[in-house]
Amino acid sequence: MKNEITDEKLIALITGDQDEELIQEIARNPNLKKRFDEMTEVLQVMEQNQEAEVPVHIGANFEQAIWNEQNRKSFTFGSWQAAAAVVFIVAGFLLGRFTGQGGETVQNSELTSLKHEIQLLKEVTMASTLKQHSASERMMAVNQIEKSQTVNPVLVKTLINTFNTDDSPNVRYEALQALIKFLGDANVRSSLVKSLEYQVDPLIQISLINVLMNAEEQSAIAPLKELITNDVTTPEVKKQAEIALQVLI
Amino acid sequence: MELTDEQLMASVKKGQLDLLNVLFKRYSKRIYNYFLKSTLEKADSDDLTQELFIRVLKYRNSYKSGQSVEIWVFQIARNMVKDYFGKMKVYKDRFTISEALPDYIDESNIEQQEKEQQLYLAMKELPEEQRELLVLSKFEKLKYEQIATLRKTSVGNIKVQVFRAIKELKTVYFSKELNRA
Repeated sequence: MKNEITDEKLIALITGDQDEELIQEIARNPNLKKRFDEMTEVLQVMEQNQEAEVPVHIGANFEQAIWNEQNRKSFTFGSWQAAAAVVFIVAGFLLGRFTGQGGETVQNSELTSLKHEIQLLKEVTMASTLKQHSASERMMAVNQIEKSQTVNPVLVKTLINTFNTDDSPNVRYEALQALIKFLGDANVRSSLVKSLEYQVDPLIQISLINVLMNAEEQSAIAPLKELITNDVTTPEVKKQAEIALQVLI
Repeated sequence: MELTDEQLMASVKKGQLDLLNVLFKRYSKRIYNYFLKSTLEKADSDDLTQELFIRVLKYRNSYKSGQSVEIWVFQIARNMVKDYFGKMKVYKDRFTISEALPDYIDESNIEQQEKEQQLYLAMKELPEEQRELLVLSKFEKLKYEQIATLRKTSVGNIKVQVFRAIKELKTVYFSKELNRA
């Protein structure tokens, strides 16, 4: 070869370039063959290098951090609600005291009533936090069903019900992911098609459309067309429905 | 069938924080290995990986819609590695090469194990910039275009730099082998 053979040319050859002239030159030239072999070894070691697994505690800690963040958010919101409500109650209480009864001492019954209302507000805040916690538990239950090896019709029905009725979009999303495993069942597919009418969360709608599109479910065509013409459907969902229709029709 | 990373992040920003678990499943292994090969310190890589996902959670609203999540996550990781080496410069004399060798290699293939150890020894000798280029391009399989975006430079420039890094690695790899023999 007239031109100098650079390492770049060797790398290009090893990583897939076709260069018959260079191959012949390597065969003829022992020094070049050595350079070629060395470069091949380095690239191969990198290529075959094993990826280390992520230590389990990292994932567990992150899940905990997400949970904490969710509860911090709800607690903060609840606390502000409670604080605002307490301010209103106290303001109302004082207003009543000074305008209505002017100078009258605070009665025990009024104090008790005030404390009771504050306690109620605290309980509402706590209940709100607990509600989020139970959604996580429901998600864990759905994940357990997804992992189960046997196909239990009752479990599948539970998943469909969960997908159609659960308050939490996260739980519904997990239920849909779990149902993908059972798409061979015609009842599951028809239930999912029917569900296109019920789901209103755009994320769930897009996920559901993707699932039905990949399952090549022809009976989804009509409800997809309805989604596209429906005024309340978001543009993202409409776009996904149009893509699905292109695949299905 | 699956939501894209970008769709996931859009929902996360709207408050569906649980979906970050899906993102963790998709990226944790790559990110962990990126840290491992960049720092060559296992314990630090554990901490960095943990910290990265906490940052993703904390700064989720800084993700811009339409931006590649992959690039965004690796950009955070790169910044963390930069900070890490900034701090390490103070302490680097405390570490030896043997401490830097990862201990997770499959013991069933001794030859590959030895070569990988040799590879890590050689990588340890490379400048941080070159090592990072190899980790991103050869181990984490980012495209040249993506690396160019991360480094705010041209694809051609990245190609040249990757070639140089491989060439340098080969030189160090075999000089180390000669030393060991």
